[in-house]
Amino acid sequence: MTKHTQRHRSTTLPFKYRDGGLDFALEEYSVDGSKPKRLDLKAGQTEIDLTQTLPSPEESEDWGKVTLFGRLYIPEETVEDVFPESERDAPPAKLYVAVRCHETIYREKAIVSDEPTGPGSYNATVNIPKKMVRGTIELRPYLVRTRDRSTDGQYAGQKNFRLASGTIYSVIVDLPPGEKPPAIDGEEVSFSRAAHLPEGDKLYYLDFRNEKRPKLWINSDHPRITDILQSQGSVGAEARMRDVILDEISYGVWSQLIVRAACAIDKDGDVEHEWQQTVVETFARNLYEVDDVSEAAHKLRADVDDPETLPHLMERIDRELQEYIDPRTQLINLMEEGLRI
Amino acid sequence: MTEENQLYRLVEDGQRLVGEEFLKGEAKIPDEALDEYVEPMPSGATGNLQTLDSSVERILNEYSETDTAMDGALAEDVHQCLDITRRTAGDPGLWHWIAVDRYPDFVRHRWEYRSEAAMREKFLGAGSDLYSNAIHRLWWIAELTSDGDDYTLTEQVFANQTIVNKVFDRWFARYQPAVVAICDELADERSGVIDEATRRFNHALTNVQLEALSEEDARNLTRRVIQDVR
Repeated sequence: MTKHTQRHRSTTLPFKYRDGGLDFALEEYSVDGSKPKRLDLKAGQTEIDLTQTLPSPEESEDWGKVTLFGRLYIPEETVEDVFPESERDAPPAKLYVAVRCHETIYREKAIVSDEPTGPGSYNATVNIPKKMVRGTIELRPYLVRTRDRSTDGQYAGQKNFRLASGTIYSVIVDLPPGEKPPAIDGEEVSFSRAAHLPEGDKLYYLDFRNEKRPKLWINSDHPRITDILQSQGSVGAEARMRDVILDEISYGVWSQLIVRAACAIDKDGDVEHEWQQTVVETFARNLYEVDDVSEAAHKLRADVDDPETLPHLMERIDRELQEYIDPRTQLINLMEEGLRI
Repeated sequence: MTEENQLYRLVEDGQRLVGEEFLKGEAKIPDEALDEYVEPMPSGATGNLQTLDSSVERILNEYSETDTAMDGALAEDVHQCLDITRRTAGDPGLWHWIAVDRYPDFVRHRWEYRSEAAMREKFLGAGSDLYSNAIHRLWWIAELTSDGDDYTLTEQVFANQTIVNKVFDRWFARYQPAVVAICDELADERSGVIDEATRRFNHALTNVQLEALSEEDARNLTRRVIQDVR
């Protein structure tokens, strides 16, 4: 059996069914009818995080509806597999995308094609009304029968029996409760294929070309590591390893951000960009054990300027980051997982 | 809109205030302690709480403890007085505030204390578990069974606790056309039929794709299942 046929394997249903028999690709999105923007998903990426794109409730123009646009493709082989020969010219089936939101007990569908639905490519448009959803919305395409037929046991014989489905996409419209948006953007990319990123086997690179909005690049040349970073669970070895890797990256990233922000503090104790303000507010007071942010910012600026105090500042930063990130906890979790304590 | 119509939420840390003595009705949580963990709903959602206060008061006076009939008597008022979106209703903190801070007497009046875990669920359950929080379940069942201002089906459902138990504890109850069809078709059936028909309906969804069903499709499927069961 080839890999290809394994991917399209039938399930244990008592009739022919293709679990991966529909090719579903989301391509663009639009907010409240605005001009569609490209999603630019990587190969295999099924999680679409719109939390940084959608206007927040605090902003003057809140969003009301997100529309996702994509393509649904039904291969010839899927139709040949799930319909008897007599039905293949005009398959009695409908194609739609099921829209589900667990948190709001919402289950709907966006019809893509009514009967007959044969092989070929279809435009898919899925509307997500804000008032009906929160958190994560799941989109999954289905091909189902639209008519009963006398069955020989090989093919699905009743209306609404499932025939094929495809990739499940998760669209995130809200961060989990209590979680704040990231201070900087992050993206995975192959360093070996990007001229602006460092050579060698670097794990990550903090890019300050746009000082207003630094960006963290993760090197996808290390797929074993990036796969772990994408894992979603909260228990088990993968989750433990992910947390340790994130701690490792966080330490390096925060160190750079603190020093960069410190260098940007002006004589009044102010900084220009939002991320710099976040960094100063988060760390400066703890570094100097004072209550006033402005006082701490002035001390930070003075220390980063003075070759004599700089080593002491680095020591303070190291101590503070060990408190802030708490790598010990995740390391112990990983060890206990490994040792099965 | 008066201030008392603002809806609030109990933040997650506030759940630690809910101890066994409170669950049993032997202790109250001081207002000043609760205030620290209560915040306005981010959406600015409001509700007609004065009317709901009166309705809850009436239920407490008219129904004896644990009388299941109070569910049906209160569900419409809960749904109408809390005229909120599903997005707002999906915030567990809202239901925790309503149960713990606003109507704890109703929760204890409706649900007998059997264990700490069971009672904790009546105060601090919510989310996608339709059968947990004492007031959240009334709102959601009304949401899924009402048709505009028509709560006929909601009343029918709450008049038959077997339907409440057997339908709303299952995943197909998250799809409104199926809920409406199955509740309506089973409303006059005896418990044994409801029990077996909901089990078979659920089993049929192994082959049938739930979101493919129109209300009429779901109704036909339910009728076939009921016929087989009888």
